[in-house]
Amino acid sequence: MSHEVITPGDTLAARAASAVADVELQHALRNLDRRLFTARTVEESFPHLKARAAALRRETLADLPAWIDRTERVLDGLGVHVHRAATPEAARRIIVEIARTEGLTRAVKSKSMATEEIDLADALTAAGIETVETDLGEYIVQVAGERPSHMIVPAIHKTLAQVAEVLQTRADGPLPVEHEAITAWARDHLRARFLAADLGITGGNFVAADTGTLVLVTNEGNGDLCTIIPRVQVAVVPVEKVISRFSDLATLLPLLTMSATGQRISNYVTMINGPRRAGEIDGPEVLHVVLLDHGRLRLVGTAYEDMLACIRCGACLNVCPVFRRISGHAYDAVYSGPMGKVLTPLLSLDGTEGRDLPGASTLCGACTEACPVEIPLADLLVRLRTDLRSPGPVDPLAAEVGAEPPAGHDRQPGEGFGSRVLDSPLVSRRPARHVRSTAFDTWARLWATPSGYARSTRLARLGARVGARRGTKHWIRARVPGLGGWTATRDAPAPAARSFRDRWDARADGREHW
Amino acid sequence: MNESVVERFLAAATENGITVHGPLDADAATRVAAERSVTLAGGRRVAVPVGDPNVEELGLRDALAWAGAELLPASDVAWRAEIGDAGAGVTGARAGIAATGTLLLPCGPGRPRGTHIIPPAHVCVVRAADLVATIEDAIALQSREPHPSTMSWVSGPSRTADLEMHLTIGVHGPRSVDVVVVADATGAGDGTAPA
Repeated sequence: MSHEVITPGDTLAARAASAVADVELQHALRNLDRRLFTARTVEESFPHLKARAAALRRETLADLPAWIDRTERVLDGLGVHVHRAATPEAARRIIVEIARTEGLTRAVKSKSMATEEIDLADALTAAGIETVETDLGEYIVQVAGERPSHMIVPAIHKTLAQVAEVLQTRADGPLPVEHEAITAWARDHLRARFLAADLGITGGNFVAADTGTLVLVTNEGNGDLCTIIPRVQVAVVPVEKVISRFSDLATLLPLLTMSATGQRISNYVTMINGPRRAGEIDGPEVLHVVLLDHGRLRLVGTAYEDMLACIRCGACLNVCPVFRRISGHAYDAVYSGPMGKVLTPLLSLDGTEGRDLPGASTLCGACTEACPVEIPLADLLVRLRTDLRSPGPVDPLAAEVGAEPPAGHDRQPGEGFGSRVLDSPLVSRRPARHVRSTAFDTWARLWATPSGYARSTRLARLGARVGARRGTKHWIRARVPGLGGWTATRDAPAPAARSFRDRWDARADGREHW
Repeated sequence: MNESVVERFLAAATENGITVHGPLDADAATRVAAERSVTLAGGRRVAVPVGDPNVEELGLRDALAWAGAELLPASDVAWRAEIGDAGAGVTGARAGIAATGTLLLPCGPGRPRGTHIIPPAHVCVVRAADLVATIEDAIALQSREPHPSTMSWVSGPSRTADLEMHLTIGVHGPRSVDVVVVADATGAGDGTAPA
């Protein structure tokens, strides 16, 4: 069962337009403002942690296959069953088989993007295993039959009234539209599921190669609950979640929580070192870890390797001017926002998913700046736009061959806008190169003199009057002839009726007064 | 133990929504932990570990029974069936982190994973001498000792911001967390620094 497209539209541009026109969605998205400056506000040590974390992640990625091997050996020594899944299909098959072999029927799940990626809840449900999401936001989304729209706040797209409407379908009595009452209802409702479950499904925020420690980070405590009562636990861990050393957590753990929620530490961090031991009365008797590749290992050693440093904090979503307007569903992909725009086409082994996503960016570089592990997201988006012009899946190695060198590598640090995108070869690589350069040359000549500038702005106001006829008074929504592809999806603010220069001149001459 | 570490721990824990008590000498800490547990349990059973160093040293199980609690000890064969109905859970922390107000709760025989998270109230005792300054110190401490099958870090009550980013307490785990800091026998933490 696949999820339906929540935000209507066949293309990304159409879905984005639906999202922008959705009044309730726009109302709900205002709540995201509270996550704008999370990391920086909480801790002075953030820049220091960030530099350390970026280095630690690169160190592990450089030798990722070896660290995965070591993790597997150590987990094995702890009595954990380790599986390697090359594809989502393989992962689903492994987990459904575990459930069948162990005779499990009731699963509780904590929030995990990896399980979203492999559509695990649906696969288990189809196999006759009742599967309940336990993160409150994720549960709301599950009952609504949707996907999470934000990796940290899955139901950010819903107003409280909409949440009450969704959960009412599961409630016996009327559910008040009130935060505390809905939370209390969910607690009672889900508590019974926790206590009756025989299978706990989790992701893993980190797994340490030296100790085999699986780390779960939550605020609700549902990660703990999913690993206490159920007899069997299955953790789905994408391979890049491997960290070299347990001690790396001192850097990565606070960095994740600061970036995700602005907390110095989440309220619950669960460090699991294997299944229940002799003499213990709770915890899983059997623990499986499914290491998921799904195209990740082929990125190691390529220009896209940086993407594997991602710790899924959601910081790039929170600052992205596109995400903040359209939210997750318009992307029609498991991972949304800047990191999703890069990761989705890279993980698409048949090259069918997310091809249009790298285009949904202003290349403002806010994501690159927000990323706590210094992934050059804007640069990767530009690179993907180029690589996706060839049909079929992205070939990460081809990106190195024949392409121009990574933009800006010969420049001094600090030049540009905190991102190297401004040096990108994007424009020069377009087919109609001579047309564009002529246009830019003319523009440059025109703006080289004050009179040329004045003439051009008068011309622009004239053009705007034509354009504004098809838009509103303040916005130009027209397609400019010859620039159809560019202007079809971009509105521009209409120039003012009189320019600043005209008004300045009038006042200087004494024709008008301040 | 550095007195300022205790103060910073109490401040950070308070900021996280934890109710803090102490630092108190052993007798007072035991009395406060027992009374808070009985009050919070509201007539329901109080889940307690068996073999936890802090709980044993303070004689907390006896104190709880004396204060009128009906106990659900971790040695009880019915623990798994009964824990869902318990009114409070008592734990002893291996350590606490001053910078973040975090409690380190290892599980093990007699120290089940569910005590801090299943009952609606959690009461934890931690020794001032076991407080460390930073997350880095806590990770280093854990690296020096054998890793338990599960180590839970608790930094406050169960909370969610999933409804319109509105902070709501008690979504799955406890609605309240109390921590009782036991002062060093030498007197550190209660204002008289050790020599």
